[in-house]
Formats: sequence, C-alpha cells, structure tokens
Amino acid sequence: MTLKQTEQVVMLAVLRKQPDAYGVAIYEELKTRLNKAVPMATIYANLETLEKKGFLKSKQGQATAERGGRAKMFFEITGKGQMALNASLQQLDRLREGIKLAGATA
Amino acid sequence: MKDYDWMAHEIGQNIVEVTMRFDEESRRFLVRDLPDDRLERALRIQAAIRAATHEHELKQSRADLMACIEELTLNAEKLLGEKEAKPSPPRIAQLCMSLLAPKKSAQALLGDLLETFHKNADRFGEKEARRMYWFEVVSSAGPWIKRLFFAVVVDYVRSKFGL
Repeated sequence: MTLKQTEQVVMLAVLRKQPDAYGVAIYEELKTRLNKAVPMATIYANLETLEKKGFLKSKQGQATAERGGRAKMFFEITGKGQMALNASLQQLDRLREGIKLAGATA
Repeated sequence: MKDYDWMAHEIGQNIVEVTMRFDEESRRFLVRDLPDDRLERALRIQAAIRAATHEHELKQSRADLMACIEELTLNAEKLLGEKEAKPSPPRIAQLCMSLLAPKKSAQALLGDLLETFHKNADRFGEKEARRMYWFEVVSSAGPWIKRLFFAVVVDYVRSKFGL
C-alpha cells in the first residue's frame, strides 16, 4: 500500500517522537525539521487516515488543566505501518537513484 | 517568653496594682487576695505578671497570624486574577474548530490547539497567537469544504441522471 507524501512525513515525525508522539509534539517536530508549519488539522486528518489503515495506533493520555481539561492522544507506529513506510521510502529512493540535482550537497 | 518592664504598687490591704509596659502599650491590672507572707505575695505577683505576659504574646501572635492570612488571601486573589487574565483563544474560532474537527480526535485536537495557543501567546503575544489560531481553523475548513463540495456534486449528478 502506497503512502502520500504528507502521510510519510507524519509517520516519520511519529517515529521520531515516540513514545511521546501527540499532536503538538508532531507539529513542532515537522515545523523544526521541515521549516514550515503544517496545520494541526492536516496532521490529525493524516493521523486518522493512517490509523484507519492500521499503520498507527492511538491511546488516550491524562487530561490536564493547561489543555482545558482535554486529554492528549498519543500515537504509535505499528509493524504494518513500519513496513509500509519502509516500502514507500524505498520506492522514493529507487526513483531518485542516479539522478543528480543542481544544488545537491551529497 | 520575653521580659517586660513592670511596676507593682500596693493600693490597699492585700491588693497590688501592677503596671506592665509592653512594646507599644502598657497594661494595668490588680492582684487581689494576696497572702500576708512576703515570699508568697512575691510569687503570686510574679505568676500574675507571667500570665499577663503570656496573654499579651498570644494576642500578638494572633495579630501576626491574621496579618499572614490577609497577605495570603491577597496573594491568592492576585494569582486568581492573573489566571483569569490569561489569554484565551477566540471563542468563535474554538466553536468553529469543534464543529469542523473529526469526532474521534476533536478533544485531542482542541487541547493541542489550546496548548499551542498558550505557547504562541508567550512567544509572540496574544494578538499573533489569536491570528495563528484562526489560521488553524481556516486550514481545517479546507478539507471539510472539499468534502461538502463533492457531496453536493455527487448528489446533483445522482439526481440528474437518476443513479
């Protein structure tokens, strides 16, 4: 099963932030590493799609006062998700193979 | 127990008037029914002085305690005021977001947005944080409008061609 680019990006952020991968952590990780703010709604839409596909699983955290009494939702990548991400990144690598881009450093 | 200045003055048979000078006030009281024996008299007067000193110190610590309570109450009110004055996201934007957010993750999404709002308010100020919150709402409306548009188009095509 192929992954869209946004889905790849979100899954990579979840992998990086595990076991503390919740909305704000993923949002900040993407902002820092991609140098652009991905809207929270987009992140959640992708997280939900990925969960439906069985690539991610979520669990509810504790409600805190600073979040207006709302609980965090932590995401974790599944084995199926890791395989799909790996396959998707390999496809991209195969596509990139042998291509030299102007301005590339490596 | 602190030692205060005092003076005893015999004013009648077996009655002594004691004047005590505390820090900012002085107190006068009578010690009655004193025995004839000088030593016992002295002991009774000393006991009365100790009792008066104790009473004064108790009064003083009660006043200190009241001052502490007053200060604590003032601080609590100040903190409560600060808490109430803490910036909050625009209410209409919050309402829009709660309507647009997917049911399953709505609470988590709203919580995340509130957490981000507070961080942004600390970093860039309330006005900018509010603007950023609205940006999030508008961004989340995009897919919803797209879905609504497709639903309308599909419904139109179905009704037009009787599918």
